[in-house]
This record gives sequence, structure tokens and C-alpha cells, in this order.
Amino acid sequence: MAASLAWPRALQAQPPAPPPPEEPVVASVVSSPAQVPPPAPEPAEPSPSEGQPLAATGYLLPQHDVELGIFFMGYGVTDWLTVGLMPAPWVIAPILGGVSMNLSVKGGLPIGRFVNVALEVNPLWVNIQTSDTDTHGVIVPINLSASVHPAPRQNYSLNLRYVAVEGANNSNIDDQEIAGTVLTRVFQVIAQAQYQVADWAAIYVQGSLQPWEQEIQVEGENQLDDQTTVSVEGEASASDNSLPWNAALGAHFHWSSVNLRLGVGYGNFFVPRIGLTARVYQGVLPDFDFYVRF
Amino acid sequence: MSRLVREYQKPDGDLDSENVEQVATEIASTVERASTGAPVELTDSLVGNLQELDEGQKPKEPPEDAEDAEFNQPTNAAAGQQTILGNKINIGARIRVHHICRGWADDAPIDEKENGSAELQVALDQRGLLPTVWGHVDGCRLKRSGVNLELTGDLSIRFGTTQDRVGLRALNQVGYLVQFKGRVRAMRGDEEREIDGTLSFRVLPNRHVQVKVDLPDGTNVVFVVDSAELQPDTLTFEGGLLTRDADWTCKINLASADGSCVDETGADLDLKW
Repeated sequence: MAASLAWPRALQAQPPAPPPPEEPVVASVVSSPAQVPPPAPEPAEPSPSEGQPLAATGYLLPQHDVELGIFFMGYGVTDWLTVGLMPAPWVIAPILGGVSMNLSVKGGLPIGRFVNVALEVNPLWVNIQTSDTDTHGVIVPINLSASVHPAPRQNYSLNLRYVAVEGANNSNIDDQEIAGTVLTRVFQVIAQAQYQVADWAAIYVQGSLQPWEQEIQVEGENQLDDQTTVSVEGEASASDNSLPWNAALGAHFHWSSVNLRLGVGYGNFFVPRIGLTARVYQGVLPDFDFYVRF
Repeated sequence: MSRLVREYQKPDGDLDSENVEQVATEIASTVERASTGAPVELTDSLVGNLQELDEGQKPKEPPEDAEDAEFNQPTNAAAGQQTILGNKINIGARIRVHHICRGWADDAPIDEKENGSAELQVALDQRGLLPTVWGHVDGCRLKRSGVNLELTGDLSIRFGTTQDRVGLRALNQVGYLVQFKGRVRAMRGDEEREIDGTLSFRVLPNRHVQVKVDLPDGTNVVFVVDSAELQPDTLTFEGGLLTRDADWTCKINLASADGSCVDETGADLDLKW
């Protein structure tokens, strides 16, 4: 008897068992880009200084931004440093018969999310010589400002300004005046509030007060005739009013890079950005500023 | 100075037939001292210097036709904020006027060491000038009608009457009272005389000079004469006399020591001595 050579079916060659399925790899946290679209990047928050004036506020120009305006031209060196100058004295001083140069340096930083503080120094040198007057000196307005924007539409600013004056001729009031504005040390407080009514328009109120000024020392000697001389030592107030002040209400328009500020106020005239007050006028005042920022 | 102002405004002495000789003696003595030593021209010049300080204002013409009594009222003295050499002084100031005296020679050089000086100190605040001004005269030499004078002493000038402030532009409108305490040397040729003590006189805008005459009973009367007459070489004075309740017109002759006074208030009194 011959053994069957047929292997039992069970013993017949079987195809190799498929490899056990691989253990699935633990999925990574990031889905495969091919599978889930990434979220769109969040738009950058607008700078809190957008639509806000820089003067008497805690705001600076963002880095590389430029502002060209009637009362200020500046450049954002960094987000915390703005430099510039005030163009008006450069133009007005020659008209009055003299020369003037100035510089503006402002440094600041945000505190938390809603507050910006800044320190600004604007040294200004002026020399006016005419047939009637010989006035010269260095005027240094120093501003310490804080701005708060608790909500997107609201902005509140408080500014303390000290104006130091050095080198002015102090023998005669006329020699300490430029166009009715006396050069003397003063301390001022400026407050403003602005409310955005639309993206392109805001209303603002602003008030300024000068609670302290250094009295002008008047010294002089005059020869009345061949035999008689007169010496005067006196003190006078820089302004005809004991506490110069003003208040203004207006609108700030902001179209792209163009900014226009129009308002009306009442009180004493404070020279923009410098702060010294004119002695001779108290009444209705226009409030105006125009600048482009890009 | 306030009391002296009142004594000039309201003399309390009387003149009658009983005391006319005594009063006349005092008047003659006082007027003679004042005519010799009273530095009327000097004070007039200093007051004029003060008015010049308000460069922007031309002083009004003094009311030369006004009656003396009008200047006894505290009239408007233009008080208020003053302008000194073009500077509006609205806090306070001190002004020092320094005058080198003219000297005795007509063409004397301006020399303080030789001819002396007079100085006034004026204070003012935002309400105006303080009406009393103090000063000092140091060896001040000046010539009055041929008499060489040298004055050394303290000078006080009171502007107006009872105003508590006056203005520069009104100094020639309100009159002023002068008190000089010191020494006057008066020289004419070889004659020399010294007047020591106190001299007072009141200069009015109508060019009258009032001289207070103290009487032995402690009261006083006021003799009024034109400023041009109050000179060292004047021997006859014709002017007014103010007593407690009468105004008189008097003639006084220093050389002959006689005179007369007529009551102008209607009492028809005529006194002679």
C-alpha cells in the first residue's frame, strides 16, 4: 500500500499570513495640513494712537510711522520713541525778525492694555532782535502724559506740563515778550476726553489751566535827565489774569492718513505745543490742527 | 504824616484882636524860615521826575484856577495798576529816584561830591503808589533867588490827602505835603544863617504854597502864598490865612514887622499890627 503524498489540505502550503496590521501611530496634536485648514491669523490690534492726537497724550507714533502736520512733524523711531520738531516757530520767528530752532523727543510705553504713558521734551531756542526788542532764550516744555482707553470708543488723557525758560533778558517786560507772550516758567495741567462716534469722526473736549507761573522780575535803570536817574525793582505777573485757562469742544476727523481737528473754545490762548500764554487776549478761541500720518 | 495832613486841611487856631500880635509874630517867623529854606523847587523837580516814569501817559494840566479848598477833598488820584518805564507792574515795585543837586554856580558841572544829592524811595503795588514817599537830602546845594542853600536831612512827601493809593499821572492834580527835618545853611555873600529843625509846606496844583504856623497855645493856622513869592529875598508877603472858622487876606512886611489881615468870610474884621 502506497501512502498518499497528498498532504492533507490543512498541510498544504498556504499563502503567507498577512502581516498583522500595524498598530496605528498615535495621532499628533496638529492635524495634517492637508486635512484641516489652519485658522486665519488674527488681525493685528490697531495702535491706540490711531485717530488720537499726540500732543498732551500718552501716545507715540508706531515704529516707522511719520506724521506731518502744522504744529508737529515726527517719526516713530521705535514703538517707544518718537522724534520730531515743531515747524511753526521755524517759520514765525523770521517773520518777527529773528530765528528759532527746536527739537521734540518723546518716549513712552504702554502699561497694561488700557494705559499709555509718555514723557516729552521739546527744547526751543529763540532769538528775536528788532528795533524795539531784543528777546532771546531757551524754552523747554516738558510734558508728562497718561492716556487711558478703557473702551474702543473712549480716550481720556491727562498731561502735566512744566515750561522752563532760561537765558531770557529779565530787565524789562518788553524784552521778555514775543508778540505778547511772556517768556517765563509756568506749570500747566491739560486734560482731554475723546469719544469716537464713527470710525472717521470723534468729538472731544479739552481744558487747560495754568495754576502757577513765575513772576517776572523787572529791573532797570533809566536816566531821566542829566542829573536824575531812576532805578526800578519790581515784579509783574506774566499774564493779566491770575490763572490762565481755556476750554474747548470740537471734532476730530480721521480719513485714512488725514487728520483734521476743529473746535471752538473760550479762555486764554495757549501757544500750541509750547504752552506759554499770551498776555493780551481772553475770549473765544479757535482750536485747529491738521496732520497726515502714514 | 496823616496828622500833619489834617493840620493843613483843618487848622484849629484862631485870629482875633486879642492874639493878632502873637499870631503875626509866629506867621512872620515861620514864613521867613520857609521862604529861606523850604526846598520848593527841589521837591517840585522830584515830583516831576516821578511823573515822567509813566512814559505812556501825558500828565494832565494842573488845575491852576481851582480854589485851595477843592484840594482838601480826596479826589480821584488815578490809583490802580501803574506802568513804570513801560512795564505794567501788577504785583509790586520799589522805585529809587536819585537826583544830583544843581549846585550854586549857574553853569556848575554835575558833580555829586561837590553839590550833593537828593534821593526818594517810592513803593507801589497793584493798587497804585503808596501816597507817602520817603527820602534823604545829603549836602544838596542849590541857589534860590541869590541865596546859596545847602540842605541835609530827611524828606517826606505825602501826595493827596486821605487817599490810600495814588497814581503817577495824577501827582500834579492832587497836591503834596512836604516835611523836611534837618539842617539848612543859607549863605548870601558873607552872611550865613542856619535853620535847624523841621520845615513843612504844602504845594497845591494851583501854584499856591501853604505853610503851617504853630501857635503857642498848641493850635495852628495856615498861611497861603503864591509859590513865586516864597523866595529868600521876599520881604513882603501877600496871601491868605486859614484859621479855624475864617479865611483872611493878609499882608505881612518882614522888614518893618507890621501887617494887616482882613476877614474874607463876611465878618468885616480888619486887624493890623
